Amino acid sequence: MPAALRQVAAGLSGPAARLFDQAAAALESGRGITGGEGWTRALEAYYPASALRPEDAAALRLLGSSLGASDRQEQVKHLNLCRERLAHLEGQAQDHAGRYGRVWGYGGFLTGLLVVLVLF
Amino acid sequence: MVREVGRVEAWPEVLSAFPRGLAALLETAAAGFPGPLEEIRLRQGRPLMLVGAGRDLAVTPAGRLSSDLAQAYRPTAEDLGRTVQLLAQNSLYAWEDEIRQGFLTLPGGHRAGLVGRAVLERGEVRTLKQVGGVSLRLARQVRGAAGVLLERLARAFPGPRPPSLLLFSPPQAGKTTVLRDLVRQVSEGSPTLGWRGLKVGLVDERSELAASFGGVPQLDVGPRTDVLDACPKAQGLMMLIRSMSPDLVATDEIGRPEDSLALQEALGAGVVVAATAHGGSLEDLARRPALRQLLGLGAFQAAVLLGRSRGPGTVEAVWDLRKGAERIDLGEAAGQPPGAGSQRPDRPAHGGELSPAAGRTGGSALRPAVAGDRDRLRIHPVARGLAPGGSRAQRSGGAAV
Repeated sequence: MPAALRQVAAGLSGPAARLFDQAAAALESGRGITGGEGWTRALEAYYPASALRPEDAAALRLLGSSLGASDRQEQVKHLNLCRERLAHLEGQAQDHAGRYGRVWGYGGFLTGLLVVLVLF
Repeated sequence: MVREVGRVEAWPEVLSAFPRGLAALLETAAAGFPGPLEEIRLRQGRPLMLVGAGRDLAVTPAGRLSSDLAQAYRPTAEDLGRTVQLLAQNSLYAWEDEIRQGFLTLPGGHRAGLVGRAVLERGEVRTLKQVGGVSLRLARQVRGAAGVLLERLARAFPGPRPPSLLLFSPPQAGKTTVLRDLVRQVSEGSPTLGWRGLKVGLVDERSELAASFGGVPQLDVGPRTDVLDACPKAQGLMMLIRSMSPDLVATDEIGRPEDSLALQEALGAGVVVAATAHGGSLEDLARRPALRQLLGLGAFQAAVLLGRSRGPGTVEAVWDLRKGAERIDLGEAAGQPPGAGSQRPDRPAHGGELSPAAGRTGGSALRPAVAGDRDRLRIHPVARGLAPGGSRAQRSGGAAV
């Protein structure tokens, strides 16, 4: 999982790369930390300074609870569900100021994570 | 010298496979465990236990050991769920094949057995869900574990190479530990035994022998050993023979029909075979079709029964299968478990180490070694593929006549 997160981060730039990098670092450094906990830690550190709305963060938080915790088939299902949720939120965001437009990108990032998880 | 590695040094990596609360309990409890720790047992809603030295003890919520199971900490569903995630390094999706087989291998070669609810797909197990039990077996590399055995084999089977042999025992008697050390020593070579270092091909289907992680053996299996990790035995044996020109091939836990065919192929190619199998006696082995076939074909020159009479890895008996099944007297050096701690400093061993043979005497089944002194075993028809019954005493090798 840390390797997958790093690989996704390497393919990104800007704040989103930090989210994936921090999640990887949390898993690499902590003893007894699950994938979901590492992801949530990184998200909580990243979220206050980001343009994410609470509902965006909630969708990403929900993803954390399943990250790395099931077989490939289930992982793909969870990632797709999260992507669909983010796409829906993106639609909402596009009705608002351009500030929320950044949410759009997360659906794409999750595609990256999905591809990495399937290949690893 | 006999050195046991991979237990104390590996403890941090073992603990990191548990959630913090559980890890703290286990660390405290293990420090007071009387004897070498072999297993950690988690069963949801039932006592958390440490196993080793022929006993199991419960771990209390304060991290103390107790023989009173009522005092034990009882792992929750969350404990189990988190443990499984951590065992899989948060990548359960990457361990599907292993989980299908019911185990995960950790860095360092520790193996976690899993039980839970099987999810089927087209009649086959796709994965396990709701894991309700974890048994973490701690891998131990015991340098010198095969020392006595190799010494006796070299004496009984003179020549430039060891004989093809089958190590067998009931579960948890040290087969893997002894085979791993045998592979290491054969790979390194031994001037004392008159063996140069040989090329060894190791098929490590369960990643227990070499404990490969990321393709690199974590345990020492010798400088001339090529490891096929996580590869089905039969297929792996054929691949190694075709591609790596081994002098000896080794693999763990044979018993399926395809294993028998692959081993016959190896023997036909002039390759020495070292393998292990589950079984408490030669009769047990002969009841299994694939092994009966191999024994009947004379595939193995020697059969070695391991046991726990003096701890895991005790060499209980060795049979020469070339002329029926003759029991080879091992002398007083036999029966010493690997890693028992006592040593015979006057006995040179392989790779600059001392053999695990000890100066211990005692043990009624053991007598001073006499060259050529063999007992004819009542069960010699085993080598011809028969499967007589045999008493308990016979099965234990104690009925030599």
